[in-house]
Amino acid sequence: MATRLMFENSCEVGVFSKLANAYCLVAIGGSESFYSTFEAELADVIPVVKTSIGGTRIIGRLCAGNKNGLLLPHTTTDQELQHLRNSLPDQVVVQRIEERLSALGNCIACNDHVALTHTDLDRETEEMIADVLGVEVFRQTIAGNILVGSYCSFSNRGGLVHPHTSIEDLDELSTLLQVPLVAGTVNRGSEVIAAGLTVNDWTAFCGSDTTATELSVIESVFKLREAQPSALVDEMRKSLIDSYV
Amino acid sequence: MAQDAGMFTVPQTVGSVLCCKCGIPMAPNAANMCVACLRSEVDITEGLQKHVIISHCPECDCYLQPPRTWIKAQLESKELLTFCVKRLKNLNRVRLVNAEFIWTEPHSKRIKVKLKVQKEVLNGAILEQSYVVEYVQQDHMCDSCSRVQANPDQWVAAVQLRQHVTHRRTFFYLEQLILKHDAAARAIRIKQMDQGIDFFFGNRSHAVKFVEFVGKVAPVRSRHDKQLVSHDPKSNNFNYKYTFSVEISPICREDLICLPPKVAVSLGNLGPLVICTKVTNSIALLDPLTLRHCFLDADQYWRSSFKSLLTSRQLVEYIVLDVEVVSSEVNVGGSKYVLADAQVARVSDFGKNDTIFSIRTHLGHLLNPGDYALGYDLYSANNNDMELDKYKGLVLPETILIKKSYEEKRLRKRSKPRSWKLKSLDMEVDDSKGRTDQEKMNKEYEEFLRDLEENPELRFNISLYRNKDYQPSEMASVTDGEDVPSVPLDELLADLDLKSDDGEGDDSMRE
Repeated sequence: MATRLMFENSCEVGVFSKLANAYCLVAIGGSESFYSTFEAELADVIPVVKTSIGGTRIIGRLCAGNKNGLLLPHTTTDQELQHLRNSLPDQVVVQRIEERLSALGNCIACNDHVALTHTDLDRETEEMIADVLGVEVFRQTIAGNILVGSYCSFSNRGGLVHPHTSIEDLDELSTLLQVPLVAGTVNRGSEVIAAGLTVNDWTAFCGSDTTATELSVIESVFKLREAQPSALVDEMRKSLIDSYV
Repeated sequence: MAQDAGMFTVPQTVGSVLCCKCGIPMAPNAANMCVACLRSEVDITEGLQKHVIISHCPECDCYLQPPRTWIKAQLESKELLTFCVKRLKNLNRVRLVNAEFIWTEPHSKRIKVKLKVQKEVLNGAILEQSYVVEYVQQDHMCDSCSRVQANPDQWVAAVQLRQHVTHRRTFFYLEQLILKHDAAARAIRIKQMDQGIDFFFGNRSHAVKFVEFVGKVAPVRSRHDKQLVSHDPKSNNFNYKYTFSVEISPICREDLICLPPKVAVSLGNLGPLVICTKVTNSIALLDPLTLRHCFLDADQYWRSSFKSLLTSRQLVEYIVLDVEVVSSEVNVGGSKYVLADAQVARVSDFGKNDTIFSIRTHLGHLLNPGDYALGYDLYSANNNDMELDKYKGLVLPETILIKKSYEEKRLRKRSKPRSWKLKSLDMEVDDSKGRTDQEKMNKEYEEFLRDLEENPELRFNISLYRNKDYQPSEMASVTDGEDVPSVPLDELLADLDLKSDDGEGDDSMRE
């Protein structure tokens, strides 16, 4: 199920949270309801951790990670690093990396197996990504945008990319990632997908501006409704997948 | 570029996304919303005027362009469309792509214009939309029309054209010049006055233009005055009536002039007895005894403003007895003269006495023994001229011939209508002077027409029209010897007559 929510009157929930299959990070301070929404959805499965990174709340854009590990920018304080190491499960490797492009969330998009990165990342960072996150790394662009982390969002089951992505690019990315991809929007036509949406294999959170159409696209491409046997929704999903994958 | 360099490029096919509102597939755009949804979201014509009230003058079909310009425009014309679009406020917020009229009843006092505008909405998507603006015409008479309605004869500027001579020849000629150049087209009223014509105009600038025209064709001096009619001290508006007094020099063609000593000296001791051969905006003077000539422009003339000694009304008819050419042909200002010694006698003396004058004349090329000629009889004239008295010991010639006379030949061809006619200005005539005045004027007009026939130079500037009533008789073609000068047929213009009945069309013509 996808949940619509808001962070302090902002619909860019992907900026203020980071969701992976093994943990969820939520920005510290601000609205308690934001945190409690995540808590209600995830508390009995994975830890929901309140944190800041480098003293800021835009944690979703600064860190990158999956169930294997979490990469933090060099701006992260020792205290924050320690807090995250303490809070996250033991099998998740938390690593701070010395990368000039410190908004790692904007530069790296990953699921548990594959990562797309900004074309200008250091070679050392690339190795670190492969080691810590346990993924194959591809330097890519999405519809001509080098900030791959901002303009796409994908889990192990599906992915949503920038609406201007051409069919050829979509095919190529889909082959790389080995998951079905769809070009789409969040937050009533916004093309900054990762800012409006944070997703893992069984749930998604998106900004409250997201329309029903966008929501149904998200739910179908990330296969979030698998468990619910609704004929009508199935029908709709079929038609959508037919035309968009 | 990449293809030019031989690089491989991946073909890019534009995919489709779902409209974020209604979910129909569409090509991705900046708002990621289909056009229909975008329309329902935003109205780019919001804040643009849809109803406008415009002032329209029902008399002259003009539209008021604020603050006070009136623009003449037909319905559905380009000018009206420009005017209508200009009247819309806030149109600079959007980009105007197209504008067209929607037909409305001409009597409905409504004008409908369909506009198509473009505007950028929602992060870079450009939306195009057309809408209809309704203009309501409010009838409001324009200044000039309301003035005409109040009093049609209300003039603002009057030009009083005067020449202080006894005949109207100059004005007959000037009338033709004005007609040819359409100089008095703006005149509200033209009135024939004693020794001149008054022209009335609705606007000062029209009068100024007319005065400038007259200044180009005649040696004039003018002054202008204004009279305050009313004024509004609150808005500092003053309402004047302007009067232009234009005086034409009294020197006419064929006049005999005794130049004042100062003028004669300044012209290189010309004359002092000279004849005026031509009057345009300058006066051409010719010394008939030496064939020297010179031109006086209006400025130079009005500095001394002399009068003529004898005028063409005082011409006397002579008969030429003998001519002896003295010099070869001389070209003076476009016309030819030959100096000759001639023996002439007055026609009135003929058969009574033996008075014969041996004189020198400039008409040697025209005169033959037995011809008639017109000239000034200085022998018997009683001159009372200040200028002449200033010359001590000046010996006056007994006669100065001016032109050859065709009177005898004309008598033979009596009552034959001319093959041409002139147009005339629509003038108000003061009839109080009675019939003698009218007769005198008719006679002068006939003389003017003869002048035109005799002088191709004079015809040069005016339009002659073909007389439809004229039928050439066979008698005319068998005349012997020298013929009376007439106007060649190819100089005439066909008159444009748009009226169906002939009776009315010729009203403004004089034969």
